[in-house]
Amino acid sequence: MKAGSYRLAKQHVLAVMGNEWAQLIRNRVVVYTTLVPTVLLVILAIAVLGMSAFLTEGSGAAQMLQKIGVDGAVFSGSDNLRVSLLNPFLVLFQVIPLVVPITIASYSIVGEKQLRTLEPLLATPIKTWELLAAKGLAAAIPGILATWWGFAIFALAARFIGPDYVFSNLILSRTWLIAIVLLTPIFTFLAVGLGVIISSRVKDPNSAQQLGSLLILPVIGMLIAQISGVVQVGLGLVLWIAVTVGVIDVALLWVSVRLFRREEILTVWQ
Amino acid sequence: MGYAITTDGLGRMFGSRWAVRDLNLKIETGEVFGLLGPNGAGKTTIMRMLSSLIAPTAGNASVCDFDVVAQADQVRRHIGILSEPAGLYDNLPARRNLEYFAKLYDLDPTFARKQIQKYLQLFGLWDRKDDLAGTFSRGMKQKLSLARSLLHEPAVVILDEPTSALDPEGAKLVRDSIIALQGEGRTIILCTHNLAEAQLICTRVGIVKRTLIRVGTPRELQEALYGRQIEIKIGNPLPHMGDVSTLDERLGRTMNDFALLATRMRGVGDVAVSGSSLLVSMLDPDDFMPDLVRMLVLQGADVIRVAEVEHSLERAYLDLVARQDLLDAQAAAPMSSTVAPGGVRTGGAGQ
Repeated sequence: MKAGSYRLAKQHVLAVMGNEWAQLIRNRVVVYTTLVPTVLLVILAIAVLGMSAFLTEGSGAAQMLQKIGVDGAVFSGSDNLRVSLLNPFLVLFQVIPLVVPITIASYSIVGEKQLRTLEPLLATPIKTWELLAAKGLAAAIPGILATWWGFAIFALAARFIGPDYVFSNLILSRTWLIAIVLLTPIFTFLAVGLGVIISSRVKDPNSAQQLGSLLILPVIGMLIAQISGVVQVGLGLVLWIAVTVGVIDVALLWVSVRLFRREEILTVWQ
Repeated sequence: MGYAITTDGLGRMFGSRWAVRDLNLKIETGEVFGLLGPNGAGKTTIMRMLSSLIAPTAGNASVCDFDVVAQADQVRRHIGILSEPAGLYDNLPARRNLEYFAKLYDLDPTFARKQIQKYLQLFGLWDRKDDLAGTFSRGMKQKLSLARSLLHEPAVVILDEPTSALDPEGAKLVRDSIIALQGEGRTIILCTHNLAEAQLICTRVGIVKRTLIRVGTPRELQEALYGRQIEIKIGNPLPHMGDVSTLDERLGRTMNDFALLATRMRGVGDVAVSGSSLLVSMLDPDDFMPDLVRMLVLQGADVIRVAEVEHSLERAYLDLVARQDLLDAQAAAPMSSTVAPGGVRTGGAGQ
């Protein structure tokens, strides 16, 4: 791409993203739908962390810690219980990059359909890949930032509320950090891809959001499996999920690019 | 003067149905071209193909010498489009709506600010620039949308029902703006159902129904359908006919006498009587009318008024569309009365 073309593409993408966010902050439904679950989740995680300080009795969590690659030998009995209470939050944090982007993407694309703004928008020199990239990033960035900020606040709280060894051996463990750093963007792009596909076929944002929310069911299933001890989310599983969902992301991107064409948008999207 | 828009056999199918087919059109730079047609005639499809929004299935088209398929990006830079409905971001202020599109059209920020001020002031929206577009009336939204389509000073402007939501004052402002844009050398395509408006401001009109039925100036369309017709109003009860040997005496001194006399004059076609007026069809009134009037006066007629009959564009449009409907029905009849497998006759007038 030539320097001039790159500059224009960047300008178009930034313009669309700016427009998306300008509308986003004026839409209370989107703000509440994205912020409330994130804030509640962080508060819940900190609350559990705080309450776990009152635990005194040991448990059989050492075996579980071994499975997830955390050195359980460094924890006492009550620490083991704390760890087994806090560990599911690793999975719960992955709900944020699924819920936030799909909500934003749904309101963004279906909102344009409702306002009938797509035709004048597509009549400008913007390229459809620029529009797709801008809408995708506008939905993905808040999802990623919300997850990372939420985790950072939780980690900071853990640093001061929880015992040092829980902070350094669980929350800053390789499994947790890799999951937060790697899985978050991968899950985010899964949500964005699905958001685009669903939005191209529905007429109102609520329907898109409701369909999109089905996406969290596998995560809830994973959480239940983890709590019941069927599955332990260790480093190996995190990497396996990252590769699998990454492949699905590429497939969704392929479908999204095909759906997101001027012809398709103006003649097929309803 | 060159052509701003040319189409050659342009067509577009949706599924197995032609929405537009075999459209051949040349629109000169600086024209206000009215695109008229009933709902579903393919006007929107034509607009979208010319704006490089959808690709043609057949034929080709160019806008400002740029091919609508191969040079779509350039076409979009040279076209401004006002769609119906306005398509604005309701929860953003008016100015913000325009700023967004200024960026998408790659306008320099300083130039963009000037353009936004210019058009918001032109359409009387400057005082409301910081109000949300969603709080605007339909007419104000239409004006804001029009401002948006002009921001980048396009050479070709496509306007879909630009005055449909406006009060008479607003509609006049938009019409005046269209004429001013034409004065700046821009080409305007006006899609409208308001035929009086088309007659008023369009240099030429094209009537479409899937294909181009007829194209020309409003006057040319009228003349093609009805020829040039002159109304000669005769004012007295004709007491002194004089000796007109060629007339049948039994007719007496009636309007029919004059009609008969008129038909014998050179250059005169059909003559009809309507009350106290003669309606005379002529190929070239400038050459033949003086002789006719002179003859009628000599024969004792008190000629009160001679005026060319103006048929409205609306009448011409309705007649042309009705003729096309008839042709379509005739063309469809053999196909719809085909015998389906099993011997059951499907469709057709006899069903």
